[in-house]
Amino acid sequence: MHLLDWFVVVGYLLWIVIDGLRRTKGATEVEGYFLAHRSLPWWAVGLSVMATQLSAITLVGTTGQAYADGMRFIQFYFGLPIAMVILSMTLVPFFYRSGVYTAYEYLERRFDVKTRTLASVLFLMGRSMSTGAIISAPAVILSIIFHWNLTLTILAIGVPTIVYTMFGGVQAVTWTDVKQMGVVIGGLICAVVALIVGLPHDVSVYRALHIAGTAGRMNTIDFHFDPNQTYTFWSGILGGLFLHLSYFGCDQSQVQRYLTAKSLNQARSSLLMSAFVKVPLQVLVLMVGVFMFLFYVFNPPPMLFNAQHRDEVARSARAGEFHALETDFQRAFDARRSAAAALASGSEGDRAAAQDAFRQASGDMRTIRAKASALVGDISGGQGYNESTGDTPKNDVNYVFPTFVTTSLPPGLVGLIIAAIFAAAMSATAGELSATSSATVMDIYRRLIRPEAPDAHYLAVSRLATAFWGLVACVVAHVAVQLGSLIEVVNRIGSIFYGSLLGVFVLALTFRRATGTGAFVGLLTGIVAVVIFAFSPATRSVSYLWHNPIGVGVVLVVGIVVSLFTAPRTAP
Amino acid sequence: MDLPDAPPEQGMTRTYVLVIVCHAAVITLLWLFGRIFSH
Repeated sequence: MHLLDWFVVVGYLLWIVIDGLRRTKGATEVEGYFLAHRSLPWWAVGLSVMATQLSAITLVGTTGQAYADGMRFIQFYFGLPIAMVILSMTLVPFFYRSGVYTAYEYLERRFDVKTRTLASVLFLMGRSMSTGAIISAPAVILSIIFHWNLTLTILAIGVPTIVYTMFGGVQAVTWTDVKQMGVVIGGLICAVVALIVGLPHDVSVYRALHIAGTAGRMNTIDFHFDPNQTYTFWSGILGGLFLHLSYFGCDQSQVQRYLTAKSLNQARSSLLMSAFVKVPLQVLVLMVGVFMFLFYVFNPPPMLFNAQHRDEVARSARAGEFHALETDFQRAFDARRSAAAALASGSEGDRAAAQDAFRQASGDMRTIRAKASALVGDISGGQGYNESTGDTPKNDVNYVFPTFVTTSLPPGLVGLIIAAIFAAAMSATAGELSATSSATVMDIYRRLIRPEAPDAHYLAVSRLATAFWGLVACVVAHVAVQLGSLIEVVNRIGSIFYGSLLGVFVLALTFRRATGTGAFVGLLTGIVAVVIFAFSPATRSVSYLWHNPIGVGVVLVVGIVVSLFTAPRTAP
Repeated sequence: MDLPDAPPEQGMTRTYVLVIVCHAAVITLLWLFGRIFSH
């Protein structure tokens, strides 16, 4: 990396830590530490909500996904704006007015302490694992691209985040999130501009997008109803609706953000900001991937983007086979580039023939890449590379964006994009640390272990809890690398809790006769039902977006039935 | 504990309608965008 890039990355890290530490003034009591004294403006909270959701996995993985598969991933977010409106009308007023610190505290007020504790423990289990994945995925990718030490890369992301979150609390998290979102959006815009400028002079953006369309990269919406297709209009608008209702309504990492707003309407506005901005922002992220695809239509791409895998094969006994594939790949690339040039400049008649040639060459390149991938899998005993697992650190498409950035952008801009990847990872991690700390202290420690203690004691414990969960995240990040595709399973288990958690909140809000035992049994049954559904051979292929409505349905049915046979809590 | 009654909307209804209308417009634009460049 160029000296100027180092200057930008190190300067960014120092700026964020110093700025975060400047916010410690407001964090001298527990309420300031976890809720910023409910003093933050809606736009800062709204940016923080988006920053917590947008991790480096989104930045690197989604651009790679668009490179390989086009724009269809945008459908995942179609349920989000509707979810934000429903939450603004229902859960947000209840949370805000009841003065709770955590979403699960509300469950005790409505039901009982066992339901609150179970929900909080489920959140802590899921989040401690996923925070590790948030750090490990970009750390693995950056360490391979730049040949950095993996442990040091994990610590470079984790330690500054722990420091400013531990001392500055949610106020530091929110204000650094605002700046980090600026860095991320600035980096994405610079990348799109650089990619457009990098198109050949005789190829207009309009023609280039037609070429992307010929390769199937512009398929934005699929109206077919197929539960086995992950991203369709229906899975996005229905499954995505339940997923986003659960995430923004029942996940403490999001609930805590809008509890810090100045007023109820400011809390609502912070969520509605995502409703307006999230889909266009994801379009920007996906367009980076589409323009990278176009960049590599006119410039030779590596057959495999992961340099470590290329090196492994080059050192193996099957290096000759790999080089032969590379020669075929280069030939197919030349054919595709010629077809693309004809598509961009030819007459209508020429274009039809060029389209066929383009699709033929693209198919050849895909087949050769699949052979190369299988070769890497064979060499590492099937453990090292398996695209079908979707394993984040090892999937080759995750290396497309970092490879493009480091090989094709000028010094300075490389540093900005690397800083943006750091910013995305740090902002998502900081939000999770603050949320896991608040759930640990308010739902477990203060409620069950030490109910009566001075505020200063809880503040000290909160800081220790933040540091503890930060260290756990770094350790999980390190272990996750060895776990390989198991991390995918861990992430899947995390997503299994969401629908059932939402089911408990829906039960609380819609069924007055619901009892604590009904909610508790409903929650447990919902989770077991979704686990069986997610992992049984007959239903395993159904898109995970449908797990959430199933979880909600099971919790509601079981919760209502059990409630009808159990006595409601009498008023004290 | 009894739940509080549903809270008054305090002037947010227009914003909710605006969110849904804008979202429908964005989906329509994306669909058109896909159709124009995929055909």
